[in-house]
Amino acid sequence: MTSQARPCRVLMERLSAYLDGDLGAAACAHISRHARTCPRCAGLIRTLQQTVGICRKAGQRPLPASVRARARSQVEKLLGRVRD
Amino acid sequence: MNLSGEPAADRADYDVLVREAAGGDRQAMERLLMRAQAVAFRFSLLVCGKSDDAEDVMQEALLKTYRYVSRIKRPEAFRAWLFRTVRNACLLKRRKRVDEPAQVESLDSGSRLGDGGDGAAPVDVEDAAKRPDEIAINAWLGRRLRRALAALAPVDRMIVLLREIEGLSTREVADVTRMSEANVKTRLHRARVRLREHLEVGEAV
Repeated sequence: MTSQARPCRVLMERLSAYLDGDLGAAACAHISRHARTCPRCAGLIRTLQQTVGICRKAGQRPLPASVRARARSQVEKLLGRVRD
Repeated sequence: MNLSGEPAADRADYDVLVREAAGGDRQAMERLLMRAQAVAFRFSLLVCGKSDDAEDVMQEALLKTYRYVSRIKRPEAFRAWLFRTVRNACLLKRRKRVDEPAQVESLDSGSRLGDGGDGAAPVDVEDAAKRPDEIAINAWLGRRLRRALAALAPVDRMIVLLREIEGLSTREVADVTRMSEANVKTRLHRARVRLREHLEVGEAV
């Protein structure tokens, strides 16, 4: 299966660029075509997208309430001091 | 004050806020200062792995942001400046741990936390998990993601934080980390693959 494994390895190195939209149209089309016939690469693309999604969701969550309260108190202290 | 979030925000959003804050808008200044502290908190916790350091780094981000905004010339440069400032504060904080030499670890280190090869301290996800702050942090971030990030080399954690969680562009990440864009891309890809393995996405998600 060497002939199968090699193109997949080459593809794998370009998958992040593919996901980030850093590849040209021809390279994107090549990967999309390949993924339609290679379940391993299709799975890798899907799970890498999920991984990126999990990280991005974490960035959208508000901080824990206790941390937010401390941060707010510091801001009010600083701005109060400046105003006085 | 809008405290519903202060999540990661894009550059255009920062530009507006910085301009308003620099122009004397108090609410904008409050939001910007909250945001700076949120960035400092996420960076300290996720990159350095020490929630104990977070408060000092947040304080540093607060004061420096306040001073910087009053004399800012290029609002569009603020976001990269903020991340560089927080990164430097984290580095300094770790270097100052002279009483805890075994805990010192370079953010530029290629080694993983707790791999035993460089005397680096392991991220205390397990040990500290019962402290109230840690419970809140694990609930906020998700213990699984926190552990997956802890398995990465510090520099890779920093790249993942900046690119994926904070939403910086590859160029901005390169600027903050002082790496080439090509290097950032290569490391980001490897980090994503490792994270995917640790998160076991596709199996448990």
